[in-house]
Formats: sequence, C-alpha cells, structure tokens
Amino acid sequence: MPCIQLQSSDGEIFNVEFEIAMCSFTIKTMMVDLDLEDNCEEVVPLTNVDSNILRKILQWANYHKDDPEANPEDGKPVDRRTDNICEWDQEFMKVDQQTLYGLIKAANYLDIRGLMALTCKTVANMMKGKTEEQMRKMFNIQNDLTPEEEQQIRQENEWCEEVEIVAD
Amino acid sequence: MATTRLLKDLPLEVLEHIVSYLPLYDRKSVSQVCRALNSVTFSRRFLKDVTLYLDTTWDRSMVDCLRTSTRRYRNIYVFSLSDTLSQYNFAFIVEMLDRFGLEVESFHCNSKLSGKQLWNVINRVPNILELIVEIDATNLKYGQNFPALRQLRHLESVNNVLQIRGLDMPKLTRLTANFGTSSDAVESIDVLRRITPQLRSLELVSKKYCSSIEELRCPKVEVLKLSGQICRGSERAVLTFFDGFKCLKDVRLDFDVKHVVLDVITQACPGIEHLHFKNHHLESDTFQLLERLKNLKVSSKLSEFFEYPFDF
Repeated sequence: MPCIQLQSSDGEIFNVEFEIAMCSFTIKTMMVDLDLEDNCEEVVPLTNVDSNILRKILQWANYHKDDPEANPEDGKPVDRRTDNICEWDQEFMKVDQQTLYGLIKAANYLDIRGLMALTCKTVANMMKGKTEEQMRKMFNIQNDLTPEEEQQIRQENEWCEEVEIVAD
Repeated sequence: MATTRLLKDLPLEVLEHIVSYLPLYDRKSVSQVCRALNSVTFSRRFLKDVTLYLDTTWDRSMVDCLRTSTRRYRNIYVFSLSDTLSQYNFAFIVEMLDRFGLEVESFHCNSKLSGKQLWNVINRVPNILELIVEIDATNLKYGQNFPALRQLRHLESVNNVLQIRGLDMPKLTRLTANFGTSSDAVESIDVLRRITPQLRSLELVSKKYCSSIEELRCPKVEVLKLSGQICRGSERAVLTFFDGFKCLKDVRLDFDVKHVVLDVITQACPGIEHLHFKNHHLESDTFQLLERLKNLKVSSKLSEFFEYPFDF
C-alpha cells in the first residue's frame, strides 16, 4: 500500500496510506500539482495542523475511507438536515470545544468536505433551539450589542419570514 | 495556526457554513447573540432565503427601524388589507425600494397597484427576478407604454403584468395570468404568443373564454394549470391549442374536460406524470386514454360534488 508522510505543525511525522490522505482535496491537488504521486519519500508539511488534530482527522478519514467520494464542485450543503449523523461520527464528535474548532479549521484548510459538514452540523446542533442568552453562555461570547442595536435586530427579525421554496 | 478557543474566532466562511444548517427561527436567535454573528446570519447570501414582510398596518416604530436597517433585503412582500395602496403607504414602500432596490430580486404586493405605482416600483428594482403584482387593466390607457418594463430582462417569473405591451423578457420561464375580462385576454394575446414558446410553467385563469387560444404554442411547458372559462371557445381552437404541447408533466385543468380534449393531450404528451381534471360524465373509454400515459403517478378527477384520486 503506497504511503505518504504528513508532518504536523509540531513536527510529528505520520505515515499515511495514500488513499486515506486523498480525502483532503488540498493534499490531493498538491500531490497532482507537484507530481508527487509516485514519490513516497517526500514529507508534506502541514503547518496549520497540530499532531492532536491531525491524529483525530486520520482516525476519521480511516473510518470513512470507503465512503463515496464527495463531488468537489458542490461545497455548499444542499439540505439543512443535521439529524443524519451516523453513530460512529456522533461518538467521534464528543470532544471539547477547542478540539472541535481545531477540527473545523483543519477540515476547512485541508478541504475535507465530509468532515467539514460533520463538524459544522455538530455546532449547528449545539445552537438549535437555544435562546441568545443560552448561546452566549455555551460559547462564552460577550454581548457587544448596544441596547439600541439589540432592539433593532429584534424588531427586524420579527418581519423576516422564510422564503417558500418553489419546487421546480 | 493559533488555537481557536472561541466560536466567534472561526473564519467568516466557516461561520457561514455553520449557519447554513440553521432554519430561520434559529438564525434569528443567533443574530441576537453578538455583532459578529448578526452580520453573518443576515449577510447578503442568507437574505436570499428571507422575505421582508411589510404589513401596511405598520406604525411609526417599524418605519423608523427600517430606515436605519443595515440589512440588504432581497425579497419583499407587501401585505395590505385594502384593495389599493394609500399614498402614505405607497410613499413608504417607495422609500424602502430606494433603500433596498438594487438588491431586490423578488417583489410581491397583494393589493392592486395603479399604472403609475407600478412604474414607480419597476424603476427602483433593476435586478428583479420575480414580480408578483396586480394591476387594474381598466386604469391603463390603451397603448400606454411602460418604458420601465424594458429593464426587466432578467425576470424569471411574472404574475399578472400581461396587460402591459412591450414586454421583452428572454429569461422568463414561469407565468401566471389572471384575466378578469375577455378584453384582457384579447389584448394580452400578442404578448402571450411571443412568450409562451419559452415558458416551462404556465398558469392561466380567465372569467371569459379566449377566442384566439389556438395561436399559443407551448412546446416547452411542463407545468400547466388552467381554470375558469378559458377553454370554452370553439372546440377546434382548443384542440389546436392542446396539440401544441410537447412535454407536459404536471397538468391541472379546473373545468369540464371533454373526451376529445383528453384524447389530444394524452396523444401529444405521453410523458404526463400528474393529471388532474374535471369531468361531469366520466366515460369508460376515458380510462383507456389514460393508459397511454405510461409515467402517470397520480391522477384525479375533480368534480363539484366529490373528489377522489386513483392510482395506476
């Protein structure tokens, strides 16, 4: 099985099966562009991903290696469902917020569509059904809105309705 | 990469991705959390799925609030309890269109606009895609021209502006027209004849029959809804009209549909998937006609007394 070596920001080197590393469109493009596909000696430095996060990502990618490949063209979610997370993924997402954000940023940088969807859905699920006060508490956010701004947003929100989607 | 401890320190595109999974109800709560999240949840991109609902029972506070709004609304719905808009109410709508007009892609008003009011609306929304308004054709002088309408080249959907001549919209694919009088239909036939060949969806309602219906050619129309008296004219004209369809999929005919008409439709468009029609005297050979439709999923016969769907 051909392998590729990935180096995390803190210097750890991971020997990764080619097939698994390819879940990242960033790595995939890099391999093709630099013509590294037959060269396993090269070490690819990932300056934006530390070893803790990279280890998690590889664990996820290994579990999902047989998933059908996502179309690189459709980056945006087509539907808003967030209740379609498989059990393994739900378990995988039981991490602290710092790790969760680390995974999101790394998935974004490495362009791993499936992991991006999973992590963003997880955060969306944390937000669903919460009041603004509960969210501030949960995500440790200071309210920087003036009372006037808050009033303005609240009022405008009242006049906003969801556009009916007309099925073609 | 510095460790991200806080949600709001994530890059903007990531926050947008997260918010994209939330229904509007939750987006509203998120927008009230802090400044950064407010600008994400009601960014231009997400305003595509939001309608600003202007109820003309508005009071001072709504007027003042929208005057200082920083959002760029893309869809506006004006709801009025009265049949026409007062000068005061219309002045506010004009003010809103001056504010949001460049971004507005859909404008819907449930009360009747005068010709002048329509002119005032159209001139403020150069990028409109969907325009749903009602205008009183009797107010329009015959031959009155609407220079503003020439701007509407991007329009994809239009509802009841047929009385206006000089409509040139190459992107239009959906049309709904409600003819109050037969003269409406007669005067609109030129526009209709020009537009129907490009349409994919056509909905016509008419109180009187349309004598020149056979002049309309609708080869691309997939969704068709007809109701009222539109097909009460000569049988030959109606048959010619239906023979012009080629790829109907979804058909709803809210009038007594004769056997010969069904015969023509089922022959011209064997790909019909949904068919709903009225028929006072169902004949046994009507079912044989329906057997031509190999893709039929749902069909129902509507009548004044009862309605039942049957599956094949």
